[in-house]
Amino acid sequence: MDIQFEEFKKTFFQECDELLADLEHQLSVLKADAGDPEPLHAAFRAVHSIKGGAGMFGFAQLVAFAHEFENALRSMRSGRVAISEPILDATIQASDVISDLVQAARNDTAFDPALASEAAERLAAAVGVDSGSMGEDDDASLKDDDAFAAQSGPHLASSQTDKPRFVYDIAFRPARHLLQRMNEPILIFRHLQELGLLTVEADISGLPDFADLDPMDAHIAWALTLETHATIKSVREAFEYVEGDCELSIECRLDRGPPQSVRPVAVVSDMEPRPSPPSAIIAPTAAAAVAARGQGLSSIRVDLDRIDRLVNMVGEIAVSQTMVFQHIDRALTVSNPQLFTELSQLLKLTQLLQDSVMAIRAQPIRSIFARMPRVVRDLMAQTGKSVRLETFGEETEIDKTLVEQLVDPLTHMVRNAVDHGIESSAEREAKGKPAEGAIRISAAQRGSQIVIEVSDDGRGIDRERVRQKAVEQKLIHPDAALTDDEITNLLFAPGFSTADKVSNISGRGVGMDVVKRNIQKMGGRVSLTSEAGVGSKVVITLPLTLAVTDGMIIRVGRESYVLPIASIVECIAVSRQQVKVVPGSGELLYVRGAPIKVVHLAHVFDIASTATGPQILVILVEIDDGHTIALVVDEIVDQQQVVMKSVRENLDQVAGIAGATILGNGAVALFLDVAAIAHMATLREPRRTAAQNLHPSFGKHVA
Amino acid sequence: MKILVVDDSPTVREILLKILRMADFEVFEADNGIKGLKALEGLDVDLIISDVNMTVMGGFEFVTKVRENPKHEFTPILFLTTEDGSDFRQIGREVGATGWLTKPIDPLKLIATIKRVCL
Repeated sequence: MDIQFEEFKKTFFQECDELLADLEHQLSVLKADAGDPEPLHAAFRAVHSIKGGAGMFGFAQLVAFAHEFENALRSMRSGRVAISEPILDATIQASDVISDLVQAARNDTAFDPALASEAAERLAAAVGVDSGSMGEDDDASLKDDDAFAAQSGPHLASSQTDKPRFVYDIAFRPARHLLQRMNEPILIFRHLQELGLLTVEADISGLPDFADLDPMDAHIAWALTLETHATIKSVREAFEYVEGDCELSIECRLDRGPPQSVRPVAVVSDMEPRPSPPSAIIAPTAAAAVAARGQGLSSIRVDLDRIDRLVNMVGEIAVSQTMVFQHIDRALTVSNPQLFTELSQLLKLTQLLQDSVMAIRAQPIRSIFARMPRVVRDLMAQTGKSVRLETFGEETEIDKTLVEQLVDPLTHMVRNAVDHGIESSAEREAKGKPAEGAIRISAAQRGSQIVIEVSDDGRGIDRERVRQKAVEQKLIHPDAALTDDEITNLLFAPGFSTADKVSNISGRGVGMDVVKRNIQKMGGRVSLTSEAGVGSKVVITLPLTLAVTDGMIIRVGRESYVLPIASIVECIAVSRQQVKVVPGSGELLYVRGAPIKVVHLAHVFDIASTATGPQILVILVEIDDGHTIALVVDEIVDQQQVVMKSVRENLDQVAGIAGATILGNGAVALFLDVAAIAHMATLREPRRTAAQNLHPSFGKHVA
Repeated sequence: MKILVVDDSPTVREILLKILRMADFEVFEADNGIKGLKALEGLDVDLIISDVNMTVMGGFEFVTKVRENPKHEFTPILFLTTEDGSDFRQIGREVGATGWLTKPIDPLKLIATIKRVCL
C-alpha cells in the first residue's frame, strides 16, 4: 500500500471528467422556467465536488472559479432568480470555462485569468449576484466543505536533495502501558524508516524473565538513529500518539558524511549511563524509501481487446498445461520427485498468472452502485415514498464486462424494491415501521464468486397473489402444494407476468425473468427470498472470471460435451426402472422423493447412445433456482478447466450449444447450454392439456 | 483491511471514504455513535475512525462503549476532530483512543497515520 500523491490527483481528474460530463448533461436538460429543480441541484453538486477536490490539491484558480459558479447556481436553485435564456447561456459558458480550468490544472498549464473572471462576471451579472460575494449559505454541510476547499495541498517532498541532511539520535523508552492504547513501536519505526535511513537498537535489559513477563506491557527501550532531510517536527510527529506514554529524547545534529552512507552509530543520550545492555540490531534499513517518492506510479490505457487476447491466451496456457499433465505418466513423477516439484511450481505460477491477468480486467462495482442513488431519488419523487439507500462493499471488484452487464438488472431490482417493496410512509407507520424505507445493496467476494444482494424492508411478496397469478397463467396447477420459496421463485418463471397490474399488486414480478436471464447469461444465478411484512432480498451470484470455466467432460455416443461444473448438483447412477414415464410430463426420476424431469442428451442431439447396461448415468443440473433437470449421459470422462470459445462466427447460433472448447487430448468438445437444452426437451414433448401444464420443477404435483 | 468511519457530516465521510477506498481499504460508515456500535456488532474492523462531536452519540461515549466490548479491546481507534487541544487528547486517550487525526484531512497524512497505527 504505497500511496502516492499523484494517484489521488489522477483519481481526482478522472472524477472531474465524470462530474464535468454530468454537469454538461444537467445544464443541457435545464430549461428556462422549468419547475424541476433536480438538474440545478445536480449541477450544483458537480461544481461543488470539483471545488472540493481542487481545494485538496491547491488548484487555486479552479477553486476560485468553481466558487463563483457555485454561488450563481445556488442563487438559481434558491428560486430567487428565474432561469432565463441569458442565464442559461452564461451557465453553459461557465461550464466550458470550468472544464478548461480542469484541463489546465491537469496539464499543469496556465489559464488566462481574464477569461475566467470574464465568465464569472458574466454569470454573476446574469443571475444578479455580486461577483466575489458569497451567496447565502443554504447548505449546512457547505461550511465543512469549504474548510476542505481552503486547505492547501500537502507538500510533496520533491526537492529534498537541496535540503540539509540531519542525523537524529532518538532515545525512546516506552512506559509499561504504552501498548495498551494499541500503539505499536514497530509501526512508529516503519514510519521513521520512510523518512530516511534508520538504525534501531533494542535495549532489552528491562525484559523480565519469561515467567514474569506480561505480554501486555512494554519492556524494551530503543535507541534509534535516523539520517534524513526531514525536520525535527516530522520526526517528532512519528511519536505524536505516544508522547506522555514514554520517555523520549530526540537530538539533532548535522550530517557531514556522504549521504546514505552506513556508518557505525553512536549510541546516545540519557540511556547511556545504564549498565551496558545487551543490544540487538533489529532493523538496519538500507532502502531509502524517500527516493522512490514523487516519481509517480503511472497507469496506461490499454485496449480491452488486447487484454481479452491476453486473458484468452493465459486460459489456453492453463488448458495446454492440463494437456501436458495428462501425458505425463504419473509413475514418472513418482520416481522423479524433482520433476514433480517443478511441475507443481509451474502449476502454481500458471494459477498466479491467471489471477494477475484477471485482475487487470477487474473493476470495483462502485461505478454501478453509484448510479443507484439517482434511480432511488427519481422513484421517490414519482412515488412520494421515502427511502434510504445503503450500499456496502462498493470496492468489490468484478470483471469489467460484468460491470456493464450488471447495470440493467441491478437498476431493475432497485426500481422494483422502491416501487413494489417499500410501502408508503403512512402505511409503514401504521405497521410500526420507520417511515423511511431502507434499501440495501451490497457486494462481496466469497471464494471464487461474487455475491450481490439487494434487500429492502418493505412489505415482502404477497405469495397468495403470486400463486393466484401463476394459476391464472397456467404455470401451476390450482391444487399444487408449493413451498413458500417455490412460490416466491415463480416470479422468475418465464411467462410469469404481472405486467397488467403492476401497481396494485404487492409482488415484484416485473421483468424478473429478464433479470434472471441476463444474470444467467453472465454465468450467474439469482434467488429471491421474502418474508411478508418484513422485506425481500434478491441474491445474485456471479463467477469471478468469465474466461476460464471449470467444466465436466461427458460423453454421449462418440461425442464429448462439456458441462459447467457450477451448474451441476449431483452425479448419480440409477437403474432404468427408476425412471418413470408420466403421461404428459415425459420421464421423471424421483430423487429422494422429489420428481425431476429426465432429459436424454442422446435424444436431444439425435445421436445413438452406447449405454446399454441396466444402470444409467444421470447428472442433476440446476438451470435456475429450485429448477433442476436430470441429464442422461453415457459416461463422465473428466473434469478440467476449459476456455469457452464462441461458435457463432462459424456456425451461427446453435440451440443447446453455448460454445466449444479444446480438450486436454486436443479434441473439440461442445459446451452445453443447459437452460436451452431443458427448454428444447420441453418443446419436444407432446402437447399437454391445461391441467397438466406444469412448470417442470413442479412436477411433483401431478395428480 | 477494514475501517469503520463514524462521523455525522456526510461531507467528511465522503472525503474520508474516497481517500480510504483509493488506498484500497474496505470502508464502512456510520453517521453517529449508536449506528457505529450497531455496525460493529456484525463486523470485525482493523481500525475505527470517529468524530468527537456528534449529535446522537458523541465520540467519547462511542469509544468508551467500543472498548467495553472485548472483541474491540485491541482495535486501533483514531479520533477525527478540529479540536486540537491537549485536554481533548487527554480525554481521548483516557477513553481508549490510539491517536487522533486533525481536520482538514490531508490524504497523505491520513494514510501515513493509518500505517502508523495498524499493522
